[in-house]
Amino acid sequence: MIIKTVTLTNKLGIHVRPASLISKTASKYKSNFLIRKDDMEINGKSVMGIMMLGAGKDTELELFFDGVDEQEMMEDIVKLFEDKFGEE
Amino acid sequence: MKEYIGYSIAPGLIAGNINLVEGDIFTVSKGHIKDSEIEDHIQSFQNAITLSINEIDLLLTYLETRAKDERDILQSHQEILKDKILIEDVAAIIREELKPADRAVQEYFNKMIDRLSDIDDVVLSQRKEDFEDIKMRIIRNMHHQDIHINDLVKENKVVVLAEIIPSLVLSIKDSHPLAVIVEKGSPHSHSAIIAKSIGIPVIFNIENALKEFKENDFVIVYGTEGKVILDPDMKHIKEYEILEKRVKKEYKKKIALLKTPTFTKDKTKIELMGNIEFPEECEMPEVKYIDGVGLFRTEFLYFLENTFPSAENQFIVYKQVIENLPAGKPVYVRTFDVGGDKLQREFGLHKEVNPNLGCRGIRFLLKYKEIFRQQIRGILMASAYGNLKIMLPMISSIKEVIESHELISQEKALLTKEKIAFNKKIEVGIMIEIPSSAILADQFAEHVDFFSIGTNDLTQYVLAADRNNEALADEYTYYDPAVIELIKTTISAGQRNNIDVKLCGEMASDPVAVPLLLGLGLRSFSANIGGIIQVKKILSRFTIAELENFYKEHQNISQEELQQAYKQLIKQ
Repeated sequence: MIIKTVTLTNKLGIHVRPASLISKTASKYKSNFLIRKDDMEINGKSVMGIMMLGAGKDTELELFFDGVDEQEMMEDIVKLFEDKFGEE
Repeated sequence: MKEYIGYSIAPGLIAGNINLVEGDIFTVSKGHIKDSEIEDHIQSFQNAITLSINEIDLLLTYLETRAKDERDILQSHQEILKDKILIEDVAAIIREELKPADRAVQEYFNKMIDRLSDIDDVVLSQRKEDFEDIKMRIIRNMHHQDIHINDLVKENKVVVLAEIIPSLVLSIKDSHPLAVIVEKGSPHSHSAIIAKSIGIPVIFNIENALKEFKENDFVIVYGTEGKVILDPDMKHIKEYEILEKRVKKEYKKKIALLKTPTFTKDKTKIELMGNIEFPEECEMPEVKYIDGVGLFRTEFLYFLENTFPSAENQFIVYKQVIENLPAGKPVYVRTFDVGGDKLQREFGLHKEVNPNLGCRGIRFLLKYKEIFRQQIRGILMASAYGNLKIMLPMISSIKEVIESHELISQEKALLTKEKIAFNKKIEVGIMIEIPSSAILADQFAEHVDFFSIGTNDLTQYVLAADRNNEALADEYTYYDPAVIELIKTTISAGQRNNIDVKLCGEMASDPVAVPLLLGLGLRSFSANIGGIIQVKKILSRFTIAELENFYKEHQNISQEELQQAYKQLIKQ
């Protein structure tokens, strides 16, 4: 399992578009993917779940990747955060 | 006096008394379900999800590529509807808590909405609207079959309702109200599109309208501004009286303009038709008073019910369209242009890496011949009632045309045998939207009665640029010389072979491109409803000779310069 901490830097936080981008990207991989914010943990392959986090700008998130292709999955997902979901 | 602001859906100005319609369309079921009903409820929920996804597909084809914000919103809603976890979670509520499907959806989304309300972040909490919208869309699609409230709607009143759905818009129309006000409703909905066509002011999203207004309250409804004034004072009433006269005059002017045949400045007759997606749109003055319907998209027949309707059901729809138009005006029915990407599951098709280059349009129809036959039969049956034409989409080879003709002949023979009337000389034409058919237009012309150029796909295929890809916004342009060359080829092949050439893509609705197309020799345009008035005005401003010369003088410049030159021309 890989654990990674990211901070949301895009202005709008995780609204519908980033949420669907994250879940779509995650769904390409076999590994499990969980996102934790404070005491809330959700399935990162679900748009609804990600939206539920209600993660605004500057929120810190913990990402858990677990499975056969966890490394590639992690790289792909972290890149989305680094690119601010292509927004700015 | 009090003022209320909502979304303007359909324009117009009217004063009148309120009629509250408190149907329980969107009240969800109460109580619990039995164990034996669980699977039915889950099935009904899943059906509503599919219908909602289809409904958005339909709205996306309706929205022009330029309406980028609206498209983005709808696409993100579609992502949510496709979320497997959402489906599992709602199914779990039905199964474990024995809640009826509509209630389960409501509770699930309300929980999400509450949670988002707790978040301090303003931007995120605004997303509540998205969830409200998605929730209502699913519930609407679950309830949409069985609603009868027209008994409650009174004539000549301003009708107020909590929510609305497409079939309701139509049944309300039959009761002849003055205007329609809806408490909740999305401007991005099928209802909104239909509401535009009923010819009276319609406003969505007047919050708490059912509580704020009482039966018979006097209001002024400003459709264009999305404004309602309750108990107006004398000042507002006087203003209304003046404004009403002006609005009526402008409306008369608009109708008169639409009814005047379209000519260029040198009196060359031009055919101007409209593109429609739903039969109801025929009743809009922009369609009714012009030369006919140049493109009737039929995909909604599939998307709304999630199945291909029988010939008889299609017949009813085509007949309705033709009977809504003044006698003799043509309707070009484009047969289903759907692709494998939408229909994978039902038809066991392989997932296509590139659906736009896949089994869509005529390829799909020739593969699933029974669907094609039913549609041909439906069109043929309705052809006994008016001037219907058959238009085949995505033709890339002559073989496809010949095969289609064979099927049409077979259906004709069957109808003759069954003694069912149809137009034996019904015209059959093809869309020119794949480069191969434009390049060999002369050869195709021998097999068909008309061409209709579809510039959206033609541009996409000539330039290998997806028109929805933002990164290619500069590459995707119908001012590209290669695209124009193929339009020219098609027009001159039509002239040589004496068959009509029409153009029904977005280019025909673009006031800048219209003078260019006239100069290239095009004499028949089919525009989007919203663009018709503007196109009509542009068509009458120039002579053919000056536009031919203008094109000759500008044909060797870059596409940006060409577009710029025509922008300048229409500004003069």
